[in-house]
Amino acid sequence: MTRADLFLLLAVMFALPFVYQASWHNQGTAAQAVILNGKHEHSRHSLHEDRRIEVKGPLGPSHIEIKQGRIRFVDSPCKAKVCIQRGWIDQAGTLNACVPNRIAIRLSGLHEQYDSINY
Amino acid sequence: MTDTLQLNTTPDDHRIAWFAALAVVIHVVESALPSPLPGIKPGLANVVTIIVLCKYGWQTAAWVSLLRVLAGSLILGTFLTPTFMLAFSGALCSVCVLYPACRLPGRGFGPVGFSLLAAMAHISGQFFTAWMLFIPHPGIWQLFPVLLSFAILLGVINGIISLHVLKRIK
Repeated sequence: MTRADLFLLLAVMFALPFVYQASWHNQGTAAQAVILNGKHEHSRHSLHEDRRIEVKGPLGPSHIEIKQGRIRFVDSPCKAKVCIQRGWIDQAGTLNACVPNRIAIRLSGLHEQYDSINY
Repeated sequence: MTDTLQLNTTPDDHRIAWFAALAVVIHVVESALPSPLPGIKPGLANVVTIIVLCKYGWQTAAWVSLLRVLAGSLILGTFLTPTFMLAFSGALCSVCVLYPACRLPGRGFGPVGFSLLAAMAHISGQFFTAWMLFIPHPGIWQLFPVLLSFAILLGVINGIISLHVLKRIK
């Protein structure tokens, strides 16, 4: 290994954590939330208007709250309450779902039209 | 009276063809190996590229690398499919990065440095292509650091392999 090799390797190892941080923590805040009930879209909401939404799933009503650009499950008739423990989400591209009650929240940015193209 | 078409080949052309053939074989054999994680490949064919780069210079290495992707895709039947586009853009990016890298003053980079640079350029090029053409969703970048880490690891391993091969054929 030459000195340049070693220097490059050290520089890369040093920079790698920053790449992780940049890609995992800087997705941009979401503009709107899409709520899915089963396979169908239940509603779309801007994250700029604070409100509470009730969605009826197979187990019963789930309560979702939007406040200051963030969204969370307040209450859901599931057993594990994983969706509630996830807490607030506000990054574009993130998902939160109450799987037993078949309700999902998907956050999107402004320009996103599709998430995958297949040929 | 028939005119036979005569292609005048130089020793350089023959060298490129032989090394590209060797790289294609490694490429095809490697594609038959199962991968523990989608998107991660050892990229052993790039060992050939690095050795050629160190022994014969950038131009020969660029030919070998791009011919390998082209011929490999024809053999595997992936020519012009997304797989090919990703492989080709990765190889193209690596070749572009290696150009300035092998023109550094002084001793410059050795095989390990070249391999590491090429691996990182490869994965970056692929991600950019995937993002532009196939998955235009910002979520794809969440996978980038993970695959970059593997690229660094495998790039260094390939570089060390190249280093040892170069020592033996000297």
